[in-house]
Amino acid sequence: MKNILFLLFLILILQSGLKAQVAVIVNKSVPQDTIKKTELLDFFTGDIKEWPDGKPVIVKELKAKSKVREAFYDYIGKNPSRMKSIWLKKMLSGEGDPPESITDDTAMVKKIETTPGAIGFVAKDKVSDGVKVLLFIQKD
Amino acid sequence: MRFIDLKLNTKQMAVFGIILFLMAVANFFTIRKMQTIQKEINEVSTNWLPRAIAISEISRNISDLRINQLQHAITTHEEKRQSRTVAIIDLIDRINENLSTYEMLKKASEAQQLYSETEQKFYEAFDGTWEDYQDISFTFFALARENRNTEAINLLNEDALLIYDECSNHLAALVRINEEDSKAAAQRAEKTNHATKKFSTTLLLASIIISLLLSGVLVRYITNPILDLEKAAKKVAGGDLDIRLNLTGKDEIGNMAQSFDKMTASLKEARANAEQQANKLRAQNKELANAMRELRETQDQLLMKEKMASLGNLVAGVAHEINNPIGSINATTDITIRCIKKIEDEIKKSESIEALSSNKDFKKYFRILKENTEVSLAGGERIATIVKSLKNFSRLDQSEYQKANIHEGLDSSVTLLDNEFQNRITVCKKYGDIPDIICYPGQLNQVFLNILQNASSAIKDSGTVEIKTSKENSHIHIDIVDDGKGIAQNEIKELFNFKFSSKGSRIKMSSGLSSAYNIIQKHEGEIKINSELGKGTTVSIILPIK
Repeated sequence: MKNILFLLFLILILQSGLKAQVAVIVNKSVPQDTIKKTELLDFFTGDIKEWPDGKPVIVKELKAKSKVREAFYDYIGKNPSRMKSIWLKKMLSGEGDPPESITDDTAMVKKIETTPGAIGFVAKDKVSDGVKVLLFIQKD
Repeated sequence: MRFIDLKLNTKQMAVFGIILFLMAVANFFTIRKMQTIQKEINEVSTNWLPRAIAISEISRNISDLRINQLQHAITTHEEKRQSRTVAIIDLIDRINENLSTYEMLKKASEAQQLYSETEQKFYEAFDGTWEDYQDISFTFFALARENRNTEAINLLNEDALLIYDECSNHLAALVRINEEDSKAAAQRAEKTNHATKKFSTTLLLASIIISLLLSGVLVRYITNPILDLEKAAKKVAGGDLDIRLNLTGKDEIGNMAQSFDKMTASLKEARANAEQQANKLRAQNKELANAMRELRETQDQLLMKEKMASLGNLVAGVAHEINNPIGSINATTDITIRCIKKIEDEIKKSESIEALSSNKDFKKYFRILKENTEVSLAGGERIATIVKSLKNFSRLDQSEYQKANIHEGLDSSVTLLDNEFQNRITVCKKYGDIPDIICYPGQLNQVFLNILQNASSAIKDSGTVEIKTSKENSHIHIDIVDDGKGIAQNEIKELFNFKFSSKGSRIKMSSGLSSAYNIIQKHEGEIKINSELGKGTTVSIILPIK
């Protein structure tokens, strides 16, 4: 019995290690507590540039090609390179610049904390109290 | 169950079934193999080839993108720069379209497990470098926007070039992989095609050989027996009944052959029986012929006997007839002698002729003598008549065909029967005017005598026999009518049949009319009998005048 429990525990640990758990975070000024997938996609493609209260949406993305990044883009159904194409097109047609790329999760959290209207994503365990979590994304 | 015992249609069906089965198997395998080839061709045409095309397109698009970026960086003319931007946006769209195409193809190939890990790895690598290139492009366009053209060009020619090269290498690798895979598939298809060709050819040849062998079997089990049967039938038709097919199969031919054997055997038996019967018949015929000959001999003997018998009767009658006149002659002669003695005595006693002539006794004796002599003369004449008749009748044994008087024959027959008739039967002759005819007179006399004898025996006590002759056209009619007891109607036709009856110790023909019938037939004439019981019989003879 003990052995089985131990085995289950081991499996849980291993699974949590393998799983990429992503948190969609926003600056605390953002006037909403949840977010739908379509909204997320619209913000990240730049199709919607304002929050419901009229404040501009500032999108931040992770630069490093990590599991977290992969999990996030998977969730919104866009491959990162396609996302870049979209941004590139918007940039060339003058519709807006691509989001700022943040080097790592810690910097990302800090950036979101300090930028009003900012939205980004980090690994779940990197989330601090200074930000608001709108959504957890879990990927096997 | 042996093959030979199967019915013909079963046999044929079995053989054609096997052939069809072989053909079907050959076809099935060929089709299966063709499907494999088709699949491989499809793999090439639906997987690697379009993917390779998509990748090539992407490669070209990225290269175009880079060229446009360079041109964009070099020019400062706002309009030209704008047109480059439009071209670049268009290229990005095209790249995205091609990527979508590739990913769609990739998904389809993954479902078929035709997407290799190597390709996946290279694609991921490409995707990474493409993202990097776009990242650099952000910087590039930001620099260009700020008219920091030199920096932009440097970026494009240094960092971006490195990424571009890497990206191009990955794309080239992807194209190569797809090329190799499609080549391998083509080779597989080619190999399968070759193997299929070989296999189909082999199977076809095998089918042909097996079909030929099976045809041989069919010929052996169907055609050959039929030919044997035909040959045997011809032989049987030619008369050889010893031929046997001895086929043991239980199919139609076997049954037919067995029936044929049975038939031939039956035929042989039947023929043997027929031969036996024929032999028996021949022997019986011989026996019959012998019997007939014996019968004829007996008949002839009987006829002879009959003849002798009637001749005996006749002779007895004739002797009697002759004896009477002789008796009277003898008696009268005795009286004559005594009369002559008395006359001599009277002559001696008398003195003169006158006295003698007046002598009453002398006169009496002389009258007696005279009378006696007349009686003797009559007796002699009577004998002469009889002898003449006898002589006439003796033609009985003459078979000469000659002209003869029928009345003479009738008369002699009546004369010969005088003794039998005596005072009992009155003969009434009603002779007409008939010519002499050419005939066998003796034989006709025999017929007349026969009929008259029958008439005599038909009359019990006393009666009349009427003999009528007449001429009618080219025939003469002779009717002999008696008033005797008559003959029953049903017996009349029996009269002409030859049969025997035994009366006492003497074998006698019941009626001599059968020989009479034959004789009249010989004369091309007719003999008819009309009779009524108790009233009498009429025998009519019709003879042609010749």
